[in-house]
Amino acid sequence: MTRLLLLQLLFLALGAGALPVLGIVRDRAELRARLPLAYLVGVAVAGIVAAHLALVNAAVGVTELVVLTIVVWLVAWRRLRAAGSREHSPLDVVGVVALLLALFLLAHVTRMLETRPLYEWDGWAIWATKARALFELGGAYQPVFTTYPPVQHPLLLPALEAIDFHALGRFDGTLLHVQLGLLAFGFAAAAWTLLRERVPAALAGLTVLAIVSATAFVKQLSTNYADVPLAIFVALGAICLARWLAEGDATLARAAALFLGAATLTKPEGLLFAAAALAAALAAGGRARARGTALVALATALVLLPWRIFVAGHHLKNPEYSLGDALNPAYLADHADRLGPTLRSVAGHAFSLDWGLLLPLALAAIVAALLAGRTRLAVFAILWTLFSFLGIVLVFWISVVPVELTLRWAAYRTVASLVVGAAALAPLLVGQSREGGERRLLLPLRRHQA
Amino acid sequence: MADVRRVAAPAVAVLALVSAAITFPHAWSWASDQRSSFEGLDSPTLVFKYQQLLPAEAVAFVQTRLRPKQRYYVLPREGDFFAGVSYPTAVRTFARYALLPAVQVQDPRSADAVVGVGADPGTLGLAYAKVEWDPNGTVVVAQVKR
Repeated sequence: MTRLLLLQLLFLALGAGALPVLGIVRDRAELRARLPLAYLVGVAVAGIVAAHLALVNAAVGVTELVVLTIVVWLVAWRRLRAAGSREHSPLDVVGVVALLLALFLLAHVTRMLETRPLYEWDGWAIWATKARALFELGGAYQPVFTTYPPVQHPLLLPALEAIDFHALGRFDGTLLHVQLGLLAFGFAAAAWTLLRERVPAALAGLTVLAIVSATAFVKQLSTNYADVPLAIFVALGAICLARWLAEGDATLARAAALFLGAATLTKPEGLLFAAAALAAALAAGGRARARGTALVALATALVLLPWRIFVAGHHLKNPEYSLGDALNPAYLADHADRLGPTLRSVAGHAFSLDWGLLLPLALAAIVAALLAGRTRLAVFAILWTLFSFLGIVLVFWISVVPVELTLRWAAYRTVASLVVGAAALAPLLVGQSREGGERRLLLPLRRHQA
Repeated sequence: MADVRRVAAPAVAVLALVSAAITFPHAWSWASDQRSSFEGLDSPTLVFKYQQLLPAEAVAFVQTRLRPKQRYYVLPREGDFFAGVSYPTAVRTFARYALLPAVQVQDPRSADAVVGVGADPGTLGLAYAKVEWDPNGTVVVAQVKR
């Protein structure tokens, strides 16, 4: 356990170095302000690197991670400007208490996860099997990774868990759950940081608390399914993209590319949610943000590319559906009887009280943003939510698995990214920037003085 | 519009608070219940509930007879497991996880060994160099003659 926790410090150090290297922070003051992002940035970078190296049968363990961290910091040190002081946004009691409550709950959950064995079917049959195979075989050994279903699931989560096993020196199907709990800590810290730069601390803190205390979030986090890790990356990517649209801050566009890229490597649906976000951003951002958004899309695609080459090179097919069927009116018409149950099930799960009031909260925020004239953010949130919902419905519509089975097995968790992502956007839709402007909170004080 | 801007943020904050008030106690007690259920289980490879598909002793018996990366085929008895999943599918899926780093194949003709679970590898018509049954007589490892 101690080794696992020390490994998390390495992720934190890697992420802190990656922040300036990736251009997510520009100087030391901004690095200090955004340091709570560092852990999840480190996890995303390590996960992406490990998932790609696994494709060429190169394992990433602690030594490799230390070397990567040192190299990243050598580059970061040269890139980090010393100058810069930052306006510190005011904290309020409600926001701090809400965040502490969220962290307290996650500590309680993580303490439980330390004892929880593998249990739920996909948790061991897909994800732990892949993680164990990466650890024991040293990479994506072809007889395993081209034949063990589902072959189309990408490797970020198993690669991350394989790093854990290298640190532990053994496979451990119980302790791997601790990594999931720590991902939730990273999400809470990152979401709080990204939201608080723009909205009052109380709103940021209460939203983070509402998300991580959702019963569905906690239960699904504990299953070693990839749906909550995916939701975490999708939500952070959506926040960054929304703020890029609203503020034009290129550092957030880069962060969006990292998180959305990580999402595409976490589950096949990651591509759906990332594409929905990028399409919504292109539509909502207008010409002013088109070039930057296109660059985010390009970077996201480049993150996914090695995996897609592996999939194409080995002729791996998704046994459950073919995306071509989504464009085939005859196929859709022949399977129209699946649409009604799918709509009811997906909507029912998204609005389930297991998610608390997260989706009503998001919809209320969208309406408020429209009424308040925050059109760009509102259009982005509406289109992303709509595209994501329709995409989920379409996947169940074209699936070859009997509809009652696939809905029972997957609908409740496929909505995780939709619900968490929509709720995470809510504060941005209604929160007053403390200075009422588009992009002021992180500008150096000296610019204000000038 | 100014009114909407002024009211919207507190309204969403209240909704978030109510949401957390609804779910926080459930999430907390669920985590507590889970901890009390699983505390004391100390097996890093245990799969709760599904371990019955191939109990730990059977896994150990088979693992000592398979080399890393050795290709094996699983021959289970017929039957249903739960809706949508047959017993052979469930056993093969579990064996894929539990018998790593040996590698399961889907065609017995490409296997170096056959693992029978409640079934006799002799029925496959392959020639075997060695056949070993576990003490309970339910699991068998047959090395294919090359």
